[in-house]
Amino acid sequence: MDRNRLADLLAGWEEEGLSAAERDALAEWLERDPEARAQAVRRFTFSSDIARALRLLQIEEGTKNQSEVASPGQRLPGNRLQLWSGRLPGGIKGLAAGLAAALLVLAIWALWDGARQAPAAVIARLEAVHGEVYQLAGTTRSLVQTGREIRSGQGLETGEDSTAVLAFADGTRLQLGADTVLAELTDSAGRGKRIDLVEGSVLADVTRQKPDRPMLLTTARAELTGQGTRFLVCSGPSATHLELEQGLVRLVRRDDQQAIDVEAGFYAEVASDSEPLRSRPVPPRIRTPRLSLHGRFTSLTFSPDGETFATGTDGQVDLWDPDSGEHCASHKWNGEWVHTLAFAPDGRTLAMGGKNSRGVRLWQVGTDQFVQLGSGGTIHRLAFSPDGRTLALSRAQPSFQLWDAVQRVERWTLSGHKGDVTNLAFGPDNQTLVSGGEDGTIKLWDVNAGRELATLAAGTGAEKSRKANRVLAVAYSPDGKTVAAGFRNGTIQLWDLAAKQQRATLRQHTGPITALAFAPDGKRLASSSNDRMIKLWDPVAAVEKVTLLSHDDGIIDVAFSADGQTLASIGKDQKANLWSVQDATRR
Amino acid sequence: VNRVVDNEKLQRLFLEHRDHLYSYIYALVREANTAEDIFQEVGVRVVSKGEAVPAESDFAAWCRGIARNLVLHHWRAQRRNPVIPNSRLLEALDRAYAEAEDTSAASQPGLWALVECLRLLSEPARTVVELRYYQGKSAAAIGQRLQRSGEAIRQLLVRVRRQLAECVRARLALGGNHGS
Repeated sequence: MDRNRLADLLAGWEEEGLSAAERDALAEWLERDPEARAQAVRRFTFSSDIARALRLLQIEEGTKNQSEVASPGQRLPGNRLQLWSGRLPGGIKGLAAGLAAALLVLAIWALWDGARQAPAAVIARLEAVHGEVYQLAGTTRSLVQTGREIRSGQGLETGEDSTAVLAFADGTRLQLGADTVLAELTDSAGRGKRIDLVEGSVLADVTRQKPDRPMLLTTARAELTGQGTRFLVCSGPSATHLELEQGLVRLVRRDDQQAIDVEAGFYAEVASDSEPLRSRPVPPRIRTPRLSLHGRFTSLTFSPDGETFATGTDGQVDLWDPDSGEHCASHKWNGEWVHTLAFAPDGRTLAMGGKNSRGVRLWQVGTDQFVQLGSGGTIHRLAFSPDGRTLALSRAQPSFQLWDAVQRVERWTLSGHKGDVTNLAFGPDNQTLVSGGEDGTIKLWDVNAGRELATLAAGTGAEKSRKANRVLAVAYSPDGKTVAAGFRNGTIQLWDLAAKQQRATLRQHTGPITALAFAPDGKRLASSSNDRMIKLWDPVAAVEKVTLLSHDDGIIDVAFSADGQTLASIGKDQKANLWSVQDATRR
Repeated sequence: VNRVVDNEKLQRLFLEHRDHLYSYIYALVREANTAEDIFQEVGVRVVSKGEAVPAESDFAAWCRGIARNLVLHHWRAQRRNPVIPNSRLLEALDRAYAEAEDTSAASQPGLWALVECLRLLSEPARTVVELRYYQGKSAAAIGQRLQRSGEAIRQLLVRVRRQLAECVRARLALGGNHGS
């Protein structure tokens, strides 16, 4: 008898690699040879012991790395025991059976008794929690506060407006941005730190680790290893963006295992397409605006002549001199949060809408005169056509209205979105309008005919939920060739209108895009986000030129002055900042 | 059928046979997570049958019978790739485990020695072992993932198994145990 052949057949059976003929051959061998049967039992027992020992080892080390060991949907040992005890009542009748069940639970637990001897270790602590943050442990999800200890194998999840800072014992810190999910965190002497970023953003400060055990952060598209480094990583199912502030990180594209080292001051992106993997210099950052005003601002816009800019607050609209910051005029609207403003092209009328508005108010600038249009309800956005003849307004509804701004009568109610219309922008031809919706679509409309022309996008992929795909901001380029759309997942899409094709995706923001604005010459696109950053982009090359950092909270809105020299921004930090665009982009 | 009504006895019997039973299930399904699920389900069935538990001498065979039915059910339920069982092979494996009932499977000290030995494996070797014995990946699939040939992975696994077996023997001989 050839024992090696038997060993091959047994190994083949184990890895399900036997043909039907080989299975027959193995069966025949086992039928006739008692020693073969004993060998089979020894082999399979040792294999099952290895599986059990691996389980115990993972529990003890807390090194259950999802990418290598567990597939999505698999359960931790703790869950298995919970499932076991949860499964019992359906199958057991009566008290005696209940007692027997309890005894058997103990017996089966004893199979994994190492699990009880070695509970998962505490590996980190939540140093700061803002808003609703959840701890993920197996199948449970619980709200946590600052100070909560995180054990090996547990995860964290932040919401739309929440953030968290996680601190490890060695001083390594992870700052989780909004809408971020870390599936499993582990830290063991054997393998070092393992972070599984499902989606969202993390600013990581990684202290020196043991030389052969750098921190490993995995995303859907990439693996990052580093130590003694500070980096920002933003990730979703389709792309991972890495930006280095200090040190060095090795970035591996999971699709093809291609690797590069990204150094401080550089960024790299791993997307689903097959572009060459390379790092590029991080654009400059400007932290000081030209001018800063304080107030609970909720909306802003520039006058068409650029001589004033308007801000909306609780119950009031104010006009300011953008050069000196001097207050010029105000208009009271008691009981109304004014959160959208639009100047008519002649500069004499300022349209305003709010959360509880009793319609749209048209204020004759510099006077006490105003008129009301339409009925009540939250108004998301107001926009005048460039010729001033049409006023578009979106509410918390799947449809939006077009008004004749001269006759002050409603012309069209346009339906087509399957969720609230969040934003609107007119094309330079006065005939075309773009709208963005909570349904994740961007639509083009014929203003004169009152009909839909095209749908440009249906979300940006299977992110965590449809919420991530909401379009929150849209902007039309002054040459009418490009539409930009900003999504809740932090991406910006640039669409070529002639080809009706997406031309580029800009991914450098780590929070929902709150506003987009093209400069009047079309050479710059400004974007603002809940991530506290304003970015100026070259929309043709689809590259970031500069980041403006001064707000201490999420940005609400941005707008360019008529000459394109000034960019205004308002934030939740109760600041209105005015930036010199020339200074910003000359760098 | 001789009725077993003593719950302590039921517990003792199950404890006595659990390692063999788990090994038997693993031999059939060859994947740790499924084996554990079925093992637990056998436990549930044993309890739910309550008073219909057979005599002590037939207990292990009875548990294997329940396990086998559950495995067959599991195979039939595979939507993508239902397994067509080879009844001769199943019979032969059942016979092998029936004959081996008296031989001891891994003791708890043996299991902990194995844990310690796994800890000593190099990172690549441990990754291969985890993929093979924990996730149930084939050598070819592991090879593809690690950019090596399936044959190279098979040879590595043979070496690693031998290394682990020797390590466990040495540790048990020295009285090595968990925590040492």
